[in-house]
Amino acid sequence: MKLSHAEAHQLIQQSVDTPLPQDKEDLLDFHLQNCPDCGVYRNQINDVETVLRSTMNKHWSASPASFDADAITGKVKASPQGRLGTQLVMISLTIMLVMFGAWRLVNTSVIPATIAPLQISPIPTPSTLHARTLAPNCEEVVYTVQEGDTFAGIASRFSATAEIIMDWNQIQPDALMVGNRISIPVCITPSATVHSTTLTLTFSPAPSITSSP
Amino acid sequence: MDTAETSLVIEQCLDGNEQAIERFVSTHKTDVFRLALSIVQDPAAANEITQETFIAALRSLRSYKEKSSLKAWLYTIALNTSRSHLRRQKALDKLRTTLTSILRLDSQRLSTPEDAVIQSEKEKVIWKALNELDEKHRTVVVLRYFQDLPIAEIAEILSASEGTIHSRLHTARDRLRIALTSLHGD
Repeated sequence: MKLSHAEAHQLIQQSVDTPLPQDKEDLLDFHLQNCPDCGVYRNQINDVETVLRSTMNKHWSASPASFDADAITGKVKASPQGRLGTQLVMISLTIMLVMFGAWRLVNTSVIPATIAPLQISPIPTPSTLHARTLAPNCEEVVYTVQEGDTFAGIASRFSATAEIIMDWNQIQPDALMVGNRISIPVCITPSATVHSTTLTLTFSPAPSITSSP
Repeated sequence: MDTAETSLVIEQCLDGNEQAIERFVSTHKTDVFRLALSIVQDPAAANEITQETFIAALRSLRSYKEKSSLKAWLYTIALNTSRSHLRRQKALDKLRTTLTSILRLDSQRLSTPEDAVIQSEKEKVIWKALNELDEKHRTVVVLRYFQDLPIAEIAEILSASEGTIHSRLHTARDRLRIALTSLHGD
């Protein structure tokens, strides 16, 4: 195998830095035996190396000024790494302060400790009423409160009084709500003549109310 | 320095042993200084860079991984410190050029006047050609021929492959060869 001039130059440059493998070295040697120009090239590269070393040594062979290793040690100790311990303490303190502040924030509440329970008055139904004793001529009428109703209005319809309805149902005056089912005690007082078969229903308040819990 | 010796030196320096630190500095300061000088071309600046290099090295000794040689690691720091200095210097030079009359930068690059160093004609030509190389080719030449470092270490210092280092040396030598041949009129 024959080398080209470019390949020979390449191998010459390579051989300057690292030893060539035997086969490449043999090839190069054979080529150089027969190529004077590549021989000149190799000599020029060697010349460059020699002159390079000598001129660099002449320019840069000065020695450094003597400086105190203590000065270097001092600067190393004064470095940020030397103050690392202090920095760590400061960082730790900062983190602790932030965590304490967060803990205080979480545990300090503007919401009162106790909230008054929401009072919901049950909608009175006949079953929640106190047991009452109706007179024999009385019965309980269940009425569903309509919009616009008042105790007085309901009472007049059933010939009762507002007080009796409120008392009978245990409802406060301002607690009448649409949809409420209230009981109204209605008592019948028949009024009839011998000749009249008309039964007149007269609603009148229950004569007595006794309550038991 | 073998691996065991290197580990011992590092351990002692980390412990703050002043004698160990002094030994570490004394062993390497000339090499570091000369590397810095070859980059910045100014002995005063090279001295400063040498000090900065050792301070930086001792501060970051914990991060030294024993995969590379201690010298190569130190040279990497020295190179980076030198380059930073050059960048700052370039900025200053630009400012000077703007503020005063234009100064020839290439003459500023040589800290020692040419006549203070006795050189052969060949040496003058090679010196001039060396200073005309770009930074990446110049650095490999300095590390190879002035610091006498093997290719593998140069590759490590410059974080490049050995192939890249070979290639750069090849190119640099060719350019210097052409400069020399022009002297002879070849």
